[in-house]
Amino acid sequence: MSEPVIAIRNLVKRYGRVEALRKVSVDVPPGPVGLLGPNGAGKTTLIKLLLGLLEPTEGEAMIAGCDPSKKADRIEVRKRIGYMPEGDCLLPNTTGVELVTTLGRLTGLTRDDALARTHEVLDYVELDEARYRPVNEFSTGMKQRMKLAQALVHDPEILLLDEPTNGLDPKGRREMLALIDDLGRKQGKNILLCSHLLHDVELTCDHVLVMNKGEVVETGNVAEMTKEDGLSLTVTVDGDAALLRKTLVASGLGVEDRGDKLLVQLGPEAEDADQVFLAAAEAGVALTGVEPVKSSLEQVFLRAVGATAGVATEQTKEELA
Amino acid sequence: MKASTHTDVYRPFVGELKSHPRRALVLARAGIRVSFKRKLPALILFSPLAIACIVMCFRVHFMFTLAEQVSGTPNGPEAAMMVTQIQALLGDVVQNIFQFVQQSSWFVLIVMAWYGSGQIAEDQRVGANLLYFSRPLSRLEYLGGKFLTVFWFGFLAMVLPCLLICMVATFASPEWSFLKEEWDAILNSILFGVLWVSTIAIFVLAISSLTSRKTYALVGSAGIVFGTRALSQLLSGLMDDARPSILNLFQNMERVGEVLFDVTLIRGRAISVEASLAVIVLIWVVSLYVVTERIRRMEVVA
Repeated sequence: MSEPVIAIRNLVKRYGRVEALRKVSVDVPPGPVGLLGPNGAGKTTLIKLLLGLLEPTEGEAMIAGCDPSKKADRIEVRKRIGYMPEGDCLLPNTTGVELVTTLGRLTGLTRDDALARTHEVLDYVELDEARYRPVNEFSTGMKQRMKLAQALVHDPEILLLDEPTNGLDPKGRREMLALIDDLGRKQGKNILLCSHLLHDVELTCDHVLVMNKGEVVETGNVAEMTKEDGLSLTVTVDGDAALLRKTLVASGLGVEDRGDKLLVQLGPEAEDADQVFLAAAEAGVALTGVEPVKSSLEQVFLRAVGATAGVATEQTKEELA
Repeated sequence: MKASTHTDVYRPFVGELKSHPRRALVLARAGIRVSFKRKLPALILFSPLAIACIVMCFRVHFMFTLAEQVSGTPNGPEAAMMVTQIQALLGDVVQNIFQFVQQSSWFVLIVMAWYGSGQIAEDQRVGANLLYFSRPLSRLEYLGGKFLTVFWFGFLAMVLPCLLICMVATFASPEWSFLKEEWDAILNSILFGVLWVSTIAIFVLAISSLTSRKTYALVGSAGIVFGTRALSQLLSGLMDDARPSILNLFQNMERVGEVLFDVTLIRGRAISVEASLAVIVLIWVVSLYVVTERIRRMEVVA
């Protein structure tokens, strides 16, 4: 794996008695990476820790080789990061151009560069004439574009995007995802896309981190995680499907009806579909189709989150005992 | 239809970031520009001060013109009498300037509270601190930017009119006598204006940092200043003693102003200039502590 953009070691963050992050240790590779997790999983806390907007209780997080918990590094790291917050944090009575220019200048752009970059990034996010209107008159979609534009104004190498598709209609969401996809895959930006929408991450990210209850419960390449896992098969039958179902169940396999098809769960030791073919021969039915089922990110996510939930339940039982 | 310059292709930035940009000034300029967008409050708040300044300028001008006409072309004992008259006149002008400053201080407080109360409160309300502090902006630069924004409005309301009046006095006085004889009055006007405006600025920012609503900060700032004034008057009345006037910011500033301008508005004041200065320093220390602590929390939550 290439040099990680973000390296986190034993990171803990507590708010009073609530533990938002529990000894998180993870390396985030370059490129577009999705940070998935249900609400309250600790995603936003992690992003704020990476920006130095929160102080860790324990552990360390290095981003682009800097430790944002140290004051000197904090200023340096913020020059190299573009942050798109989740909340609606645009100052009222400021036009789009004024806001992005000011934030660009605060990052260190000269007056001329800031103005030129402002128009370039506002063009890129397709905020046309609206850029001269006060931001408090913007629609949600325009505000999200505006927040992306301000994150891009100084052309940072790392983008931290916190729920960028929140509140967008399907068209706006598609357009926002197209921008993120372009930035991550064509412009070579290192993106940490924080979202609870699996589809967004699946479309735009190469890697994914799944968080739940303050822990990273799954991490890996999206393509590998969603590859054909060979554990499930969709079987189409020409003949008595009920008989085949009965035979498969008798052989100890899990079977579900999926309309005119059967979803067959093979055992963990199964390497091929031989058991299905044998059962079909035994039942005397012809198979017209056998397809491996590809895991969606949703299945991966649910598996990861479910596993943690299971562990938590066991822990709770032990504590009660 | 898009203009020919329009491009939706991402263009990487090829320049360099400045190593020491004046971020506080950038923030202040943006704050001033946004604050001045609403024209009606600016008109209402600055009109009385502008009118008072113009009237004062004319008054100073007429005082010198009149003195010049009366004196004619003197020689001998008449010349000596004219010198005495001009010296008395210059003293009157200085007293007039101080009285103008003192009377306008109410309006200046309102102007600064209006423009300053939203500076940090609004950032907290909308969460703009996340945008600011995700940039390489230090807390000191943030505070500096906000302070300069509020200070600018106070400068426009108090220091600039004083400078204008001094300028008129300089040009209207015979042979630049105001500049030659009373140059320290010009410096004192600036010094007193800066002291008043900066004290109010840091105080208003401290109140603004304690809330996330501009209205609360506005009511809080004005309420504390006017409330302590009313309390000091009440206590003075009840105790039949002028010492509680130390609670009154206006009285303390007036006391410092009397020393600076070398004039006496009230004879036999109960509070010493040292006590008044101590109160002003205390306001500064408490306000600075509050505002820096709140800004620290806005940047990094422990």
